[in-house]
Amino acid sequence: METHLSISDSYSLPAKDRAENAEWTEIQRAMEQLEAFEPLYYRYYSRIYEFVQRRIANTDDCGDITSIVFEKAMKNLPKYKAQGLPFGNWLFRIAWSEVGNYYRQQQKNRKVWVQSEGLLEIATELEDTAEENNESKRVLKTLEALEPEEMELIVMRYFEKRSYAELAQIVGINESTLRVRIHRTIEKLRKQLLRK
Amino acid sequence: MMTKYDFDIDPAPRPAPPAPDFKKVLKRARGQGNSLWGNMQYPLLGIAVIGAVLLLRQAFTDKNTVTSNAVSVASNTQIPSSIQSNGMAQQKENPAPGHSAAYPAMESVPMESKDPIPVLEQSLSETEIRRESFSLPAKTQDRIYRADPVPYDTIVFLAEAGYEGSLRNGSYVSVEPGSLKLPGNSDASGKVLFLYRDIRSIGAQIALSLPSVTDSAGNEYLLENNGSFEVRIEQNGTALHTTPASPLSLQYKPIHTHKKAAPFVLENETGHWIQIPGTDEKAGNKLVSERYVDVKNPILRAFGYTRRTERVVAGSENLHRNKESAFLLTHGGYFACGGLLHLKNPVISQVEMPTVGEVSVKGLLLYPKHRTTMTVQSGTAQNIALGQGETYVALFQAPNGSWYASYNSYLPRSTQNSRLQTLKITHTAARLNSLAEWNAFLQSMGIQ
Repeated sequence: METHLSISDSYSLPAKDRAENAEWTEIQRAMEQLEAFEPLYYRYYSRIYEFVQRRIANTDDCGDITSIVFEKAMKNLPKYKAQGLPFGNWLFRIAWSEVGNYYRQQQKNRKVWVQSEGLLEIATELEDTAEENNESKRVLKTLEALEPEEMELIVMRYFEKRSYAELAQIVGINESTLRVRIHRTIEKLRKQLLRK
Repeated sequence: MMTKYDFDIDPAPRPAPPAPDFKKVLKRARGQGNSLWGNMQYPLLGIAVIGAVLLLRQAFTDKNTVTSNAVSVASNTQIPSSIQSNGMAQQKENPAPGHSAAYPAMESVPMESKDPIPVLEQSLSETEIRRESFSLPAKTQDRIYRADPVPYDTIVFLAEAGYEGSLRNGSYVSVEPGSLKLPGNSDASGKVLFLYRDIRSIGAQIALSLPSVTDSAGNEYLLENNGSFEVRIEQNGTALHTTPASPLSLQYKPIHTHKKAAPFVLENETGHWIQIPGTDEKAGNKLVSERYVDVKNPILRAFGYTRRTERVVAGSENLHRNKESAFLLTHGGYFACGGLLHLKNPVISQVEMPTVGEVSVKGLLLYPKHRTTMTVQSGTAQNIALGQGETYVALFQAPNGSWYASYNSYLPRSTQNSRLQTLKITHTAARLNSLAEWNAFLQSMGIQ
């Protein structure tokens, strides 16, 4: 008896795939003619803005940086290759870089978007046994010892809940290296916690 | 100098972003707006100063050249490519303040890499999904997503020094110095990456698409799992192995001690678990050594277990107290799977792995439309899944070739405690033998 589920060629692609294929077509079109970038811009605008807003306090600056991200994306669109890096993550990568540039130029305290749920998760990772409220406070205190890049890894991993693969693509390193870096960062936090 | 941070904890919803203005951005991208100056004022100022110094220096030597250069700079606000590339080279050598060599400052715009697919290669080496022989047509085959439901513990050590130590869940591993071999049996040396993950809940097993089938005299039997693990040691992506003379030793913490238990290894070719030669099932969990794990609290986490999960479990009619569930990181977010008993005094039994081979798990096959990672074989009615999202459907091909689909409805993970009392879980598994059945299944779930 035939037990396999056969899917015929006429079976239409599910919505998500159709969307991805359509996006690649849009990108190719935009590579030829910049005006065609418009649907991509509207699709990703709010996501990029939110990404920037979580990292920068000044609302005006958020808007400016979001514009710069898209401007740079459009300028560098011919360099984008679909292989291995989804378009959205490519934009996040540019945004991440722009936020870094912003703080290098402006001597301001870095804004860190924190979710208490993520703090608890880190606390559990550190196998801290204190009460919840204290846990969050202690973890928050230890986070202060992190370098900006380490902090970004923690934010993207624990607060924004990004997958390792996605994070690796945004940061521009391979996944193994990323796992090791996150592991080291957690170890650093653990040492900090013990010290306090 | 230590970087200072302003933590914004659980901020209130922000005002909506300003209305997007594509035309403005387009104009800037074409270099028609004033944003280039706005964006690049610092780099341009730097260049302008250097340019001015160079121009002044030249002014004393060659007036004509000065004039032409000055016009060139003024009329073309783009940074000359020679200066641009020099600037970038310098940035690489001398990272900006706050950037260590390990975390080099990124260039403003991602540049084309000479090695464009490191991420892809890495993910392939981890799950080897491309080597699977699922019989889906090409249209969907290239849409198999890699899921990462059970994260690895990663340890880096020197092959010459070996490694001995506890793993996160209380198991204990020992790798003898100099026992790791490269393909071809030459000794490995230098840093090696040790990857380990423990798969002991039925949810984790299903999420990883690990089969539960064993083979005896040509007949397939369901293997009752008492905890399983994946271990891999690699160097620069190359899998290393040990020799029977100096095997990797792993004291594994099983779920239960059992009178009839034996270690099995997964044979990738057949998808069958094969009993390790020389081990006797009747001997049960042969306790080569026994000790109690020094855990302050009973297992709070394994595979990302959290106390929050326990609360979710407690609010469920379908799961019992004193059980834990796991948050599994997947392609779409976190999922929770219930079913692990609290072990207050977990017993360690020793299992020896004769070789560290390619004991890799099967990649999860997701039906492209859906983000799920949960699949359930029929007949496993006890599997309960909680997690993030609303409705997910997965298609899963069992080792015997049959297709299974599962449907799960979840409350979002962000659901707060107050709502957990009303938690409802719906869960359906179905075996599907034809496209018509698949479509009917989707339709019945209101998916299509």
